[in-house]
Amino acid sequence: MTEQTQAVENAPSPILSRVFRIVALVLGNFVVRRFFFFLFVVWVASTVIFIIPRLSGQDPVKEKLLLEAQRGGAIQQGLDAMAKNYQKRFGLDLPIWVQYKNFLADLARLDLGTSIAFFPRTVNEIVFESLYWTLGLMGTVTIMAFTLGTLAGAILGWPRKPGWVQYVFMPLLTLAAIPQYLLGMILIYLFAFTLGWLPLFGGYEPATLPNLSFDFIVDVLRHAILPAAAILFSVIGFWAIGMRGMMINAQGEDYMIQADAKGLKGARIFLRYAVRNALLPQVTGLALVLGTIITGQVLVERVFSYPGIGDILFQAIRLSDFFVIRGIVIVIILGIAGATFLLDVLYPLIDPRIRVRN
Amino acid sequence: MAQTATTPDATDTSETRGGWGQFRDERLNPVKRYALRNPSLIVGLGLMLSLMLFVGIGHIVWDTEQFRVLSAPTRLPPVLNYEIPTGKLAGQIKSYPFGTDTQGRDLLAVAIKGTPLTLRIGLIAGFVSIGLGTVAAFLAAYYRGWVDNSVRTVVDVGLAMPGLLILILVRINIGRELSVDEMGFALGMVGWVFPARTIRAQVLVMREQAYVELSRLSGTSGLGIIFKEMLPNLIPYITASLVGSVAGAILASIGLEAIGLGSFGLPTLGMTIYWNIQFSSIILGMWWWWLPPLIAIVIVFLGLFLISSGLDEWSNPRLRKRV
Amino acid sequence: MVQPTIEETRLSTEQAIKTYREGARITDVDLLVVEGLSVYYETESGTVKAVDDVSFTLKQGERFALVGESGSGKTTLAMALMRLTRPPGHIAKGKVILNNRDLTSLTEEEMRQARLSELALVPQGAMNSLNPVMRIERQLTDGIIDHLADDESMSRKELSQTVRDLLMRVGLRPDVARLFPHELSGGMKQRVAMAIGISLRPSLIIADEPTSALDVVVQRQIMQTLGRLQEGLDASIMLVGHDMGLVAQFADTIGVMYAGKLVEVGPVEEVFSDPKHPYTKLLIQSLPSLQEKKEFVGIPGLPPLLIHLPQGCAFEERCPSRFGKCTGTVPQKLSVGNRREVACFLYEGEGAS
Repeated sequence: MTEQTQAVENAPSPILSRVFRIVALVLGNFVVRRFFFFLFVVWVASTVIFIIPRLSGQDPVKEKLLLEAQRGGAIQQGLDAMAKNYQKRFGLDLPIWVQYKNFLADLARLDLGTSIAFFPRTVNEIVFESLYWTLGLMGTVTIMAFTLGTLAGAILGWPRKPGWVQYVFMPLLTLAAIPQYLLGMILIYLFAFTLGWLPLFGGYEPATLPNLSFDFIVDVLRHAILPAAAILFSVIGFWAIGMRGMMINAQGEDYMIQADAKGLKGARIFLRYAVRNALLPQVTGLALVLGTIITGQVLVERVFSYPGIGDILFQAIRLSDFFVIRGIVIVIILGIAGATFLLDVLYPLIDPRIRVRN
Repeated sequence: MAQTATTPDATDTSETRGGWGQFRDERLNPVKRYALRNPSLIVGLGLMLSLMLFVGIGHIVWDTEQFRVLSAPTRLPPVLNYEIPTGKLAGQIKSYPFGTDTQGRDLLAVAIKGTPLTLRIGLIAGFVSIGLGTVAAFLAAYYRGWVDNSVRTVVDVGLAMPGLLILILVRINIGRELSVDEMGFALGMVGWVFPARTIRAQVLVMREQAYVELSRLSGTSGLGIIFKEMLPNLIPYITASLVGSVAGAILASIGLEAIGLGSFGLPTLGMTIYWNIQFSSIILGMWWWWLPPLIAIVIVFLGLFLISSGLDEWSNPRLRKRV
Repeated sequence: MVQPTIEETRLSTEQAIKTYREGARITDVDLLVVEGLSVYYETESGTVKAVDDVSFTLKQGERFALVGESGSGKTTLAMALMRLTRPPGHIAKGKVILNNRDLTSLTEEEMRQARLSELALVPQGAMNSLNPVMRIERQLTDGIIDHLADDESMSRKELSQTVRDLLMRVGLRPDVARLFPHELSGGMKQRVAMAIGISLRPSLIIADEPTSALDVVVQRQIMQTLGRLQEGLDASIMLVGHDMGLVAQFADTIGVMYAGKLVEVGPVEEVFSDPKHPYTKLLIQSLPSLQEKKEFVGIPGLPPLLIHLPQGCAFEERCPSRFGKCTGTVPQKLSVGNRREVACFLYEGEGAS
């Protein structure tokens, strides 16, 4: 993106701005504005999630609940109670805004309901348990991939790099084009199946209980290597290519010519003039593709049967556990909106042009 | 002695001007030169074309109905002229160059029939997103005011919500399987937000440029300016966006199908991946089951990616290396 | 409307030219000698001769203005002097001798050292020539720091003092140091660019259209500051631009470029009052005057495409004084007076080549 389009894109939407400005005037902060946007996004998402099942006129959730309840048995009694409770709060006989009010109230308390398929575990329990695995592995790897990829891209985009570096570009390009889960499958075949060096699936050996012993931790790490590698190698290429593009753009700018004219040393020009400026659109890019990253990871987890959110999602879909599915979607949206908010707030730290002078 | 044959003179341009000669000089040669400077474009197009060729020839020479379950013996590695021992096809001699899976599908038929289905999803989704996105972008950027505000708000919020998840919800609640066209359309409806944002930014910049101002002053209507001045200049950028959109849509469709939200009767690439994971083909050692879809996906993505890189120079003049 | 004659034009420009350079100290030392400098771009359609066989000399303390239309090659020439020509352009031949050292034969590292310390570029500050994410003080000091010898160093205090000093010299308040470029006006940015340019006391300052994006009042202030700075350093200035009025007031010597060639060089008063080359004549005639009302006169036609330069004189197509010889050969530079040169066949009898 050129500088012009960059500045244009980052201008916040005027309607919201006006509302926020009033609030911000009271509380006086750019941070507050972004926070309200964050809340706004979550609200819109929740509303969409609320509306979708009710579009067809029937309520598939209720149908499912009733179905399960009719099967009989101890668990089924609990489900029966749940179905009745559900009927009380979200039954179709209630006016829609009452249902909506109840729904929002539940959300505000982070009450995501109880799982149907894994009754009586609550959705919160299930989701947050798997969240640790997802964030722990995938989160770390994503940050690593972004950092390494950006570094690689910076070097690739610099004309005065050592000659051999150029040859790294082609493999990175190929890797970037391969979707993460595919790379995962290839890695499983090569290293787990054929060579047997690493475990085939899972987060840890099945039938072991998670504990903090040294053995267990090593086991976890062993299981984490392939999924991590799949994400890492696939995503590094993406960031590298992006950063390289940004570097090329930056070098067309006038201040680069001036840097040369000042007789500055190469390293300084590279770091403080090129990279420093190319980093801005790169970070913006990160905020934009957060959604894609997360959904990509979900699929990798599926391929590796890794006990993270992706795996739970798949199971929930298979078992038509609406509450869990809904819970996962909400949590993911919260996560993305939250991360975007964080990035928005941290961005002025690296771009002095949009710092608000207090 | 009369002069006989007149050999074409290097300075006699009357033969090369006009008609084919002019076409060659003004249109073909620049394109050829551009293509030669951008090998990635050629390679990318080549990859996609070979895939098309494979599918096309396959449809003619192979029995694609064998993609269905139980059309063939199960779990066969790639074989030629195999005599089928038991079952309803007992005694016949058939070839299965791609082998068969655990449910008796002929994997070559699956590849031939399924690849174009996935591509079709991608194309429909791509065109829908770019179509909607461009319209939204132009409306917002050209007319500004409240139109821009609303579009801007929708886009900002839309970007913060992963479309895939919304699609999952919708699909769950519809309760039935989606056809190829429906999936393409749905992906398009979810995917228009990103192109809308980027194209809008481009249009905003273009709007301020001199030739647009000139057009406006000379009385061309808003729509006229959009179609006659701005759109032609944006075509390179929109094309690059289209390629990106198609790739993204294919990725998303495969993802949806791999989770189990696809159409179970169709042999799309994503569904094949789904079956692979379901039946743990890797552990069963049935490499012929997961390798072809893998290669197909790699070809598709690599191809699209290279095409998009190759178009870079066309759509972003700053990257032009030569005068 | 009667066209003004050369006589009438001379009168009004003489009135316009104010040499406020009482303290001008032009020595006899050759600071910069450019010999046969040529900058070519290789394209698939042929070789573009952006700068072709240009030679001139600059004395120490002199103010030289290089003028010409867009595309005449003046900026390319300025960049080539600093060896900042970017591919696919390259210095095909020629020498650039600064302080008796041929810059074209230096290694990359030697040239890097020479930049800023011996010759400095002052760009259009109002454009994007300042790094948007660095504070002004940093941009003033990083050039200095990168030119220190390995065993030298400067303390924070020294650097900070230098920054204040430089800002003061260009007429900026010291608190500008902590600001970012986007917080400055166009004029202020230009001053910062000038401060950077003088920070290592170079012998030659190349100012590339330093006032193009500024309004007239600010223009004058900037030029005055620039002149003052130059005199303070006993340096020479090469001013690249197309604003003839500015040039008339500021420069000692003027060089006119057309289609990559230097067509006329000479002291400013002489060139303005008695232009020799037909192109220069038309240029001067086209200057609007405050003294009298006259029609705007342009130069008919367009400059040639540098890819398809004609066999003979590049200006021949538009020249009112052309004759037979002009289409066949390229005119060489002829000396027609004291430090006066023209590249035109009209003067072949008058002087030696």
